[in-house]
Amino acid sequence: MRAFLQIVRLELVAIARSKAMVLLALASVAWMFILPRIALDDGTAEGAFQMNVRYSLGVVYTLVLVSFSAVAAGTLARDREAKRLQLTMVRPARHMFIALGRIAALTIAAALFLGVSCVALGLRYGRGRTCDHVARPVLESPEVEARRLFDENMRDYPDFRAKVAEIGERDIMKYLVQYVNETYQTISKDERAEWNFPPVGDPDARVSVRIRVTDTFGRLEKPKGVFRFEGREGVFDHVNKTLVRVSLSPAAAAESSAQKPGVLSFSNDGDANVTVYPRRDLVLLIEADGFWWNLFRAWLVMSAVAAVAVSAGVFLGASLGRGVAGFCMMAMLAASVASPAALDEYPDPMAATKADRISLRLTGISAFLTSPLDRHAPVAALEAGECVEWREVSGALASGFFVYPVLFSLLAGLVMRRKLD
Amino acid sequence: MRRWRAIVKATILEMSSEPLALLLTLSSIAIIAFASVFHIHQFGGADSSRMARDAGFSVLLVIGIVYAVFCTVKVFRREIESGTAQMALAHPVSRAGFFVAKASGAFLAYAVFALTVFGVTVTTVVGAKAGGIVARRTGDIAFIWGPALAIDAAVAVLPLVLAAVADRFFRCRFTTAATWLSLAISLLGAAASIALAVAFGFGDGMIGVPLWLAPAAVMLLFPAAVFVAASAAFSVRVKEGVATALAGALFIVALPAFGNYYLSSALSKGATIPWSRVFAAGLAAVPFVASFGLLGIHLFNQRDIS
Amino acid sequence: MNSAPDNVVELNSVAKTFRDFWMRPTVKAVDGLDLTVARGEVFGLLGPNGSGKSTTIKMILGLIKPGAGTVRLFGLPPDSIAARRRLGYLPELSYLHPFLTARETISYYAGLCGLDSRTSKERTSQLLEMTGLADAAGRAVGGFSKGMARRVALASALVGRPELLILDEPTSGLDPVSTNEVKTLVKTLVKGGMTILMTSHLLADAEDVCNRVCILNHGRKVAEGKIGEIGSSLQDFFLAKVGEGRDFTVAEFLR
Repeated sequence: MRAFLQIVRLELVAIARSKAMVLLALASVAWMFILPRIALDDGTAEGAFQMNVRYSLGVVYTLVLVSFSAVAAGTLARDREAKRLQLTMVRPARHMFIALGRIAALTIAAALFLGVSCVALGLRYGRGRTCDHVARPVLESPEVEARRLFDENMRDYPDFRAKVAEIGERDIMKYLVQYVNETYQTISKDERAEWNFPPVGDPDARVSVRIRVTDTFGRLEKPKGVFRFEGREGVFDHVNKTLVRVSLSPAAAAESSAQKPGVLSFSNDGDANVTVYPRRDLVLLIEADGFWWNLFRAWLVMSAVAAVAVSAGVFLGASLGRGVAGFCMMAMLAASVASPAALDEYPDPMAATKADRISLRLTGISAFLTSPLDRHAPVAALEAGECVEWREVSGALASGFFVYPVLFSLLAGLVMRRKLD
Repeated sequence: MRRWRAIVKATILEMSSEPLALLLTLSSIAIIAFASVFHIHQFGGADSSRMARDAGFSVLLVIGIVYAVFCTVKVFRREIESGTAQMALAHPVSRAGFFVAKASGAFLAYAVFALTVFGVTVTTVVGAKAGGIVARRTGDIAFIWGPALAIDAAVAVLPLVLAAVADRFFRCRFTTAATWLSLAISLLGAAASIALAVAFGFGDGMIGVPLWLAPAAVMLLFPAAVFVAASAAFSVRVKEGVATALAGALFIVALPAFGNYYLSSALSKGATIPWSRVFAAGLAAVPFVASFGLLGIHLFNQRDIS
Repeated sequence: MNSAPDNVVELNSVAKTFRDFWMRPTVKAVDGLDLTVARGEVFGLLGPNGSGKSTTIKMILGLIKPGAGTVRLFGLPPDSIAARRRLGYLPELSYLHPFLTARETISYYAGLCGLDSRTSKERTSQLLEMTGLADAAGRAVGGFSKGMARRVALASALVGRPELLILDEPTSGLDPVSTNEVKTLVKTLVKGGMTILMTSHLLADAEDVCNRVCILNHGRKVAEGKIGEIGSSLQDFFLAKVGEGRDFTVAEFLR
């Protein structure tokens, strides 16, 4: 344990005495204060908040991930190239602890960098702001619905069977899941629609509905109506933007009180039909806690993601030269962002050629391998006022502070000596 | 001149044996090949070669500058830190001459990279055009990228295979062999695709020889030369990380000016780029290269080499 | 394998061949080496450049795995924590973290040896005094001269009170006064019960401090014996064993 702590301390001292890292720390803090003064927003308080979160904390988070990944990839490689590593390796400390110590120190430093930026953001926006739990409609899972569609098509259409034979069931299912997610529902004039949500129960909880309103061609509609949920109601009128938040307040009307728990209804009182994508664009927002708490949870998640990046970097540095390890780390970060985007934006999986399918499969593998770096989006949640849930935090902490560091340091310990031959 | 040639040669050989330089070259080829695959259905046959050209030029500009900075900082810092600069300067070589020769070597190492990527871009553009014509005639969209992808894959993989064979049986250094083979195969691929385009043309000379890409590609050498000179000046004074960071800061500052050099969008609008404009752009880069060069020589003359 | 308790280091038919990516042999660094270092002796591992001294040392340290044969350190595998706890190592060049001060460096290695903070502080101060670095204890070692850096490295090797100290070219690059200090230190440490295994190019130094030497050439042991039993000077003995075929005629070069 003492040896481990010494290694942690050594790395922290190295960071504290590195001019580049001190400059980076100062630049990040300065950026947090300079950005709100130079940025031009849309004139609304909410717009300014969203932009500041995205471009202040968001930029610092990216900067921390990139710079600490590079430092992590260099730390063991540099010591090995300077022959200092062998002096540590002949001491009575397990080789995996040499890697784990470095991971721990770099994670602590990254968490400190992020923590300072979070505090700066909290001081600016922490007062009076809250965040919301996000609840989605309880619907059949898209995969189950896609499977049903698949079975129906297989039974009824020979052409479909031929397509499956050519492209493969896996890609067709992906397409069907995408199709199901994009399924919309049209609510006609004077019609009432209902969706099931997890019941909230607490009558004092502040609840809102967030909905994106467009017609089938993506144009803004002019809908009018009333949302009702567990004795609350909210009027939906004078819509001038596509993403609308409707606050629900206690209702006296018998209709609202008589509703079943967890059921959200919408009565279309306007002159036009309303198009809703329930899986994609309809959510219930239930007020959770304050901005500071949300910031704290986001900080934990960001630190855990940084720990994953640092763990991978230290392992790569133990097994490759400094330059190649750094390059691989940067490529991994780029792939974690680009791979899911390429998969999402791929125009039509059904029309893909063989070359495309191979590329898509490779991109899918790359997205899967780099998903621990991209799975969480704490800055986006903060920006949208959505609660970073403790469930997500605990998952991120388990993987970032335990699974990946232990796994990568074990592997680093194994390869460390081979590189000395 | 002989001294200059010796230093330049050593620098190019040093960079061609650098694994990270080879990785950057291979990644660039992969980006050109993959960028096209993911946009196949959005652009179709007519626009597919535009995609290849855009990808090639973006890689030449962005990864090219990363490569130029990396090469330059590496060769200078390694000379200073490993003590080989002391050895060289103990011979009848002036510090200014040493600085200029090292910087020229770094620039020529970048030129090897640029030529490799340009060869791949030409091949992909021709291949995409040919594929597009075949696809329109046969109705099979798989043809759009088929030929280009096959050649790109060959340029990316063949040098590695041949270098492995050379390493195994002739004891050539793998990275060096792969770097030079990438250049050779890329240029051979470009020459072969142009020859095929001239020979067959797919009716009415529809493919055409993309020689009009050359001036736009030569334009990209100028910002790279500025970055080589700047990185050289930084790296004789400060350590590797700080020199790279300073070059990165310069990149951000110079970002708005890059539009003047990145002519892919002009090409897509049917503009032609006369060589006189290329010459003028080269002249515009001279003061920057000279200023950074003089700064570098001054800093190198001032510093202790120990 | 049972190891005699008095043997600190035991090598039995140890061989190491380095291979390239294709697993072709590139260098046969050590070839069937048998070696023992007894407790309390100063053992010199001598040989020309490329004779396999460094590879042997690295195998004893557990940094390189032997291709064949066995290496035992205190009767244990050399990469075991228990064996490394009793070991100190001074490499040929002082590979130090340039950003740490002399005190921090020694205290870092004390921590790696598992010493508690009080003991670590005491040992660090003692060693700084002993190596004459007390006045420079707060300076970053990156700015130290070669001799000072060597002393910091030596103090770091001694901080865990090792039973076996491995010194790789301990007097390399030192001035005559410092060389003499190192030799005196070695003799003092041996008197205190420490075992020392050292390599050196300077045969006079080895002759001054070693009880027993082993000469390696092309990875093989060509001679082994106690200093007193060699008969001639170590220099003559060494040249007789490894000097054949290494004529170098300056006149020929200048012609």
